[in-house]
Amino acid sequence: MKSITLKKLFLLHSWVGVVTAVLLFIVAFTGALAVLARPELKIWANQSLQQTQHIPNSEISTLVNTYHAQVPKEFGENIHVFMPTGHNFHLLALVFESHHGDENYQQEVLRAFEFDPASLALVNTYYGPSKQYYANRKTDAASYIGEFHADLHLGRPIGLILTGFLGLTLLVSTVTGLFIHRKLIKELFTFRWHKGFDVTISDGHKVMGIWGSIFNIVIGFSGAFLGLATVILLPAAAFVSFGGDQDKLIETFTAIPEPIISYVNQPTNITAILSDAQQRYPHAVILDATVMAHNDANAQVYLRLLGGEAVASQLLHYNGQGEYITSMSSFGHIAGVSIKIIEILFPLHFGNFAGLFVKLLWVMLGLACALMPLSGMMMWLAKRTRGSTPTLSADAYARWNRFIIGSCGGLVLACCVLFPVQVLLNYAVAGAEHNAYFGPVFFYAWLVWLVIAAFWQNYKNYFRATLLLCALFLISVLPFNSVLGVNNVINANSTLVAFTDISFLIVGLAFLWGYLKTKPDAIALAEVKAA
Amino acid sequence: MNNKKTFSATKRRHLMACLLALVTATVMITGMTTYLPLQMSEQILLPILLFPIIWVGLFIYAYISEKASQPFLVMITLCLVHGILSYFALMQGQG
Amino acid sequence: MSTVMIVIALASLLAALLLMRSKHYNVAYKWLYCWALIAIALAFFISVYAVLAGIVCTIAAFTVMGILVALSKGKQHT
Repeated sequence: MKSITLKKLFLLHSWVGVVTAVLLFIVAFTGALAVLARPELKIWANQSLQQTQHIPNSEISTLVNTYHAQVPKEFGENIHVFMPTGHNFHLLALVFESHHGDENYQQEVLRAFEFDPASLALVNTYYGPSKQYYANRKTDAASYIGEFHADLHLGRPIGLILTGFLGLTLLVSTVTGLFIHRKLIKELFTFRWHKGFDVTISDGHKVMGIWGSIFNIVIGFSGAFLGLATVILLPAAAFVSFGGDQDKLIETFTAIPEPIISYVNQPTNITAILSDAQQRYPHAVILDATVMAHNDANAQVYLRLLGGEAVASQLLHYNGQGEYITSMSSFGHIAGVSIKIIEILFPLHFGNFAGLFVKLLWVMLGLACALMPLSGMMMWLAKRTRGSTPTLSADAYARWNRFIIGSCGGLVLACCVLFPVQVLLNYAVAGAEHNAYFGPVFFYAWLVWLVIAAFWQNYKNYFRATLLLCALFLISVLPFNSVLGVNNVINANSTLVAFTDISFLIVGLAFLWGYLKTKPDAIALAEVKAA
Repeated sequence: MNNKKTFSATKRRHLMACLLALVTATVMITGMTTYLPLQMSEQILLPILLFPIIWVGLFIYAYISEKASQPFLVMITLCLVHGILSYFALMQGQG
Repeated sequence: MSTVMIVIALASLLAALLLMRSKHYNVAYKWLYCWALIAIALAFFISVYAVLAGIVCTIAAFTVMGILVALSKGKQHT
């Protein structure tokens, strides 16, 4: 490859990296946290999920029969049972949906009944538009971070477009990065921590970049797809065949056929269906069940499963008598290779296809991906302050550093704040009222830390303060939960809660170690002594 | 940025990379659905899967080509060809 | 049991990585042993997770172990 081409690729890599650095760190870091959001941190955040995740199949069948008898006829078209597994709701939810509205609503409307998973006592009811129900379901700290990762809480489509394009720029950075590093094998294990901070950062960037290139390409590609699919890709693909109507395209390909109501009464054997699915795929989790034409001779039941031997989530199709018909992708029956690739993009992006071990790998790889733009930015800044005629003055370098600490460090701090706040909310605030707190706490914490960057002149001490505060917030989770939480590390009622609290403590201690390891700025100390 | 010697016609390249590449890749998805010799689901899903690769390729090409006119011509040609194919397919569909 | 198999797989990957960065073995044999160790790890992951998930898991674990080995035992040459 010509040297001019390499130089162009290097400049392209540098500038794409610098322009997208902060945003890419934000998305990658929150993505790394979001991997553990469902179900682990959702279970940790919701006491109702901590004791029982498996409800006897016969109880579910009884509840469906009981409440189906209580709702108007049109609400029996589609019945959804959302299991309390930590992937959907924080309770067992029975949702009776009428796609054609009813006497009060001209839009999709539903009646929902939410039950405590342990006692099966009715906790909440809802009647109204479907969109409102799903939009206002109770969130928690980790789910809030996960939703922020998806669309930066900028709403759809703007947020999705932004994150989708970040996926594309990540691809550009990774591809150009691979081309410009000619000595890939040599740089795989080169990491010099005794040669100074700049050399360490540079080597770290190359080590993480080369090793993580496959992961970064997968994440960039799948992230671009997930972000842009509904906004650009599907409408464009549907333009010729469906007049740009992506809903029609989706319906054509993925529609589950409505059963023809026979009006012959035959009880739908939900118990047998759930039992059969659990026997067929003992390592998978049943996320939800959809019952169509319940208690009719032509009833159809679809179960959505995650995990087990399949990488992608799958749909199991049964008839009302409990007879297994087939399994298919969660997109329905679509032939071809492309759909198989699209199916595995989701688990490859979320890392949720093989249990906790793979999720921990995804978290570490996600953090490495987040450190890439940060280290690259620091390399870019350091290069411009070196030499006899630096293009960046010492003041400007310090301002850049303060901005990076305020924006990126501030995000980390805002995420750390949410977890002890979650414990406090569990103690003091009921149900979906939690939702009103996460936004203000998260964004104000971040904003305050960013504004402080304008006033805190010594960026090294500013960085240490960030580490210290993160440490304090995370370390506080275990004692808070021990005092205020129902299940905690002391009574060990829930292994997951105890393990998670201890994990927060360990991560907090790691931040504290970082704070103690980074020395306070000698210049600042000398100034204090002189004063 | 030392781009006076490295890159020629920087502004044009920025425009091509940031705007024209997106338009070209999007129009290509639409156009590809008309001529791929595959079943319907593949005709629609394969272009969607190829979008990120096409966009990245066009983006990088916009900067590393020797002359700025080359990627411009390539992208405009791709846009026109796929746009015309989409137009004829739409007309046939409506007719 | 699956925990033990995962630990053995990780140990195989670690051995492969330490061998990769080592200068003490003949080049031809070194890469043969590396591939053999990676294949052992792959076999263990596939037995725990099934084929596709096992392959993905092996690549991901190899990447993470590679980063950790490089950062902790990185070569110090200029």
